[in-house]
Amino acid sequence: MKKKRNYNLIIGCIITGIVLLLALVGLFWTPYPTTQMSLELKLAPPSIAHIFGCDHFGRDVFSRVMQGMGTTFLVSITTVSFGMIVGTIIGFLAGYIGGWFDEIIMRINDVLNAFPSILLALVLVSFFGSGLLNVIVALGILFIPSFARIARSEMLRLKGLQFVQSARLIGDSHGRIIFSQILPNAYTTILASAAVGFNNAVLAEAGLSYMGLGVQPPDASLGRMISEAGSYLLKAPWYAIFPGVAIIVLVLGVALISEGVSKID
Amino acid sequence: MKKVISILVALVTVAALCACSGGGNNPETTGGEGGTNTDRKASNSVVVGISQDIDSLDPHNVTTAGTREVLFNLYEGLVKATSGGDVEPAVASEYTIAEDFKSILFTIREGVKFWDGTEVTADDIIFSVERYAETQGEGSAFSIFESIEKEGENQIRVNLSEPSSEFIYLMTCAIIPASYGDDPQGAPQGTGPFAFDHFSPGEEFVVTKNANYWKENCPYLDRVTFKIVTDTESAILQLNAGTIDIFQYLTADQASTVDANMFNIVVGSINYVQGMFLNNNAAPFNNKLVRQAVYYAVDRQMISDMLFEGTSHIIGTNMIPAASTYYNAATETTYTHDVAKAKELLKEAGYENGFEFTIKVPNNYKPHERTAEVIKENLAEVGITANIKLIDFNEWLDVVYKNRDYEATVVAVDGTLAPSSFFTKNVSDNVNNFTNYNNPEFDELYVKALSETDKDKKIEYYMQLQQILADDAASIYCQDPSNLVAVNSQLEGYVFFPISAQDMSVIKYK
Amino acid sequence: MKYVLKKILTLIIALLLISIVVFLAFSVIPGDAAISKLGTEATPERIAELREMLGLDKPILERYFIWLGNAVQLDFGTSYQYNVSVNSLLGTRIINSSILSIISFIMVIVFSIPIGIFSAKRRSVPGRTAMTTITQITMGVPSFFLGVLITYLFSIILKMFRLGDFVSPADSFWGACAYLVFPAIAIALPKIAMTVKFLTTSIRAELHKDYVRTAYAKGHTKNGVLYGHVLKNSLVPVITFMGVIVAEIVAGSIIVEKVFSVPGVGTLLITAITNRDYPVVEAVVLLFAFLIIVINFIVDMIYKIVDPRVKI
Repeated sequence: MKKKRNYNLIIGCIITGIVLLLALVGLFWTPYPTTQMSLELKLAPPSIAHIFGCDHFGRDVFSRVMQGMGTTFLVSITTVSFGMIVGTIIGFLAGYIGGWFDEIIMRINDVLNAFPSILLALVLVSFFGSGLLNVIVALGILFIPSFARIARSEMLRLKGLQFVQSARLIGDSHGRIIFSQILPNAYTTILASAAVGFNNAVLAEAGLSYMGLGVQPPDASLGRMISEAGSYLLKAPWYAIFPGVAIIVLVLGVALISEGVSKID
Repeated sequence: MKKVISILVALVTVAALCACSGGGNNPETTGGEGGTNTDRKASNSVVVGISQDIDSLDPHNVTTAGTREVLFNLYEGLVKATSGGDVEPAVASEYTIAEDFKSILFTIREGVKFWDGTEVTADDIIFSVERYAETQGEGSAFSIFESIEKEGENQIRVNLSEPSSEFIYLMTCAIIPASYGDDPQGAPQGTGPFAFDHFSPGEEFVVTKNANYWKENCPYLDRVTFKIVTDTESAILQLNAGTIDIFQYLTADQASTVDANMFNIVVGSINYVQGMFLNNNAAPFNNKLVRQAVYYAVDRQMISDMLFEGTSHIIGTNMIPAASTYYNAATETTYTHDVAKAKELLKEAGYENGFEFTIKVPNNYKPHERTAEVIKENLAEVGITANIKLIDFNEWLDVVYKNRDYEATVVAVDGTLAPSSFFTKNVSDNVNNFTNYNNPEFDELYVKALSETDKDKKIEYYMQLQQILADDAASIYCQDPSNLVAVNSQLEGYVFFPISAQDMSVIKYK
Repeated sequence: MKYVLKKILTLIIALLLISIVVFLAFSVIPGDAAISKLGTEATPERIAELREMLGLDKPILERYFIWLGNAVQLDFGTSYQYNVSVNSLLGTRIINSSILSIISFIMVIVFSIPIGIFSAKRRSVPGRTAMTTITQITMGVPSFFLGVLITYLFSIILKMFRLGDFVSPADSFWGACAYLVFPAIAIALPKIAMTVKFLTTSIRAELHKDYVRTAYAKGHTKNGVLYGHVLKNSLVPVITFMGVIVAEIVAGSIIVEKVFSVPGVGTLLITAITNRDYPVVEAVVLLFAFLIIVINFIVDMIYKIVDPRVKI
């Protein structure tokens, strides 16, 4: 059979590549300084000089989006990876070992799930001070439960299947069963929820920024820009729309990659 | 860009149409409590949007300005604040301040009643004033209160331990029944123009006309609903949807999105002193030159332009312009935006290469956060690095205000009708001197001003106090923003007060 | 029976655990209810007095056990902020929030399953990419935005409902539902997109399995295979995902409740945290925990029914 081109992966990589390139460039150079204020340009609509328009301080939105994309990408990818890896390990172990171990892990999981993210963030912030790293830790912890549940149910589903049973009978080690039998069959589901999780991480970071717990002003993150723009939604919609589009592009790139990866056999 | 909007709108519409087809949603059936504007006119009621929840029904234990604004309509003291910044007789029909300013004699108004119709007695008044005195701490202006006693049939005398010409302003403290006991929350009683109806925390606070009110033909309205809308965007949409009639604290940007056919925009001032308050004990702000340098570096006009479209009153001292008798306007220009001067002063102070510090900003009020952002930009021009740290308001109260563990903070302070209230926090040994300001000259003058009985001299002292604060650059006082209020165009009579008050008793339908 | 008993026992342990965690959290973060309630004019004596009155001066362990003693009798104490019982504060809010969540969840189910199947059937690359793009856009819109857009469109332009005019379900149940449809859209839309995405992936993964090829080889039609075999199998992971979605609906309605002025549990939680009103926080968090655990339990049960091989 002729191998079909994996368009999802290609497009996804291109989009993410462009985003990352922009973000990377944004670390060293932006069209305008990201904090340069100007009264004349306050809430100025998009123009040739300022293609994304200007914000409530007359700062160039494009420059800030460049800066913000990097921050947002970093926060989201680290939190989701953290949540996914820890969550999957916990979920697999709980599902594989079962019994009381499973019960204990899943109840702790429920506790985490029910714990309000804002309260958790407040606790972490009062322990370690506010800032980017704490947001990553807080969100990372919050993402564990959903991954753990999904990984666990995949484990429960696959554990009972013929090929896993046979592997056990042959006497394969537990590690080998998990890695070579379960993981290859479960990863599409886990990756799909990772893409959703990435999206949630971007939005959750916005929520925490709004509470003043994330990136501190005047630094930009896409989420922070969006929540700032909320106050000017009716007056200057472009201020909200461009960071919004940036979020969508960012998330879309990651989603396409995750979809593409799941196709590689 | 437009495409993105239309795609979103289309998506939303499709989803909603599908969703609604099953439910048979009919807007006419959702006519809730408030009804439409016209319904409300017929029932002579008004819905006022308020951005803060009510924190207490006990008039002697109120924390937030938002609650004071509402309770102004329910409770009255022996005297009551006027919009002009003075007091007028209320529960008392007249008062005489003794020549030595050490006592005030009040005559109880004849036939003044609580909402439930019981008459106010001298015992109620004594109970109320004593109860209020207990809730006020040692450092407060009320601490010179000595005793309150009956004099003859219908008179009450308040004695002070020190002479004060300002104590009358504090006699606005609410009169409540002596039978109130310790728990006034359950069944509040007062003598104000409106009577308490019900309160649903986080939702609404409803009051009705007090039929027993002592003033004739007052209030005009039968019912006022204070609806708690914490989100300003939502409040603007609710104004436009006709759900609320009055909403204050809009910025010019926001006011321009309110439907001009339905609402008049009335302009007053918020009456707070907003600025960057400095911890005068923390290096390098313990150096007066550094503080002055910062003042020269900060562009107050830019803050006003950025945040309030230039409508703020730029100030230079810890006093509100609305207190016009005592306000020292000369302090506004003590400092100008002058980068060169700022650099020079920094050099003199030994900070030629600038320094770094942190501004702790409470996260519950956007303008503070934005002021800090502008200040950060301003200071960068003179080589000072300011880092902004947003904190939760409770943390602010605990860490910044109580423990004074900070370098700089952006907040606003307000006062009462008594002009001294704006300066107590700067007296070196005051418990609430959270800026650790310490100037013996100021302390001395403050005591003199408080006990001065000659009005002209008193004004002179207060002018000097303000100038001292400005000269010392005690803190970076920035602005008193203007307060834009959207008022349903069918209503008239909205007035502003120099204190936290929204008087509904003077509002009526045209 | 034994299974149910075991579940109830673990539920109690989980609730105990979370109540302890919340208590500890409040001992860590700066500020307390006394400081919050007295504000800027408080004197140290008054703060001390109020702390004593509220019982905040007692050691944390003692406080916890007093609270626990009352909580087991379903008495969650008195709100520091409002001075009314937590139960009365929660009463109507639970109903409002529940209705909102239920409507949102129904929307998610009703829309996401057919759209998910439709989307999974797209075989052409442009079709797939288009579907992914649309779901991603919908997912990426913050609920706050969606809230403002929806209110603007339906309340200001179309005048289909009056923003802020929420009627309590006690007065008019259907009136309340009619109002809540609109915030429910704001909550449901991103969740629909998420579920569609998840379901699509799940179905496609299943379509690559050997048994599907076998079924085709046996001459089953495309739809026959899809509805007869694939759908049932691919729904299994989706059920777990639904559990996650329900939890997200419950917890994620906070901002939407705020924009639409719905007096619900979410907004109460935020206010209570900022006011350090921990009797209220405890009660709300326990309520959420209870709901989430029960939902997960239900998910496990459904799971077992759909896929009997699974041992729980």
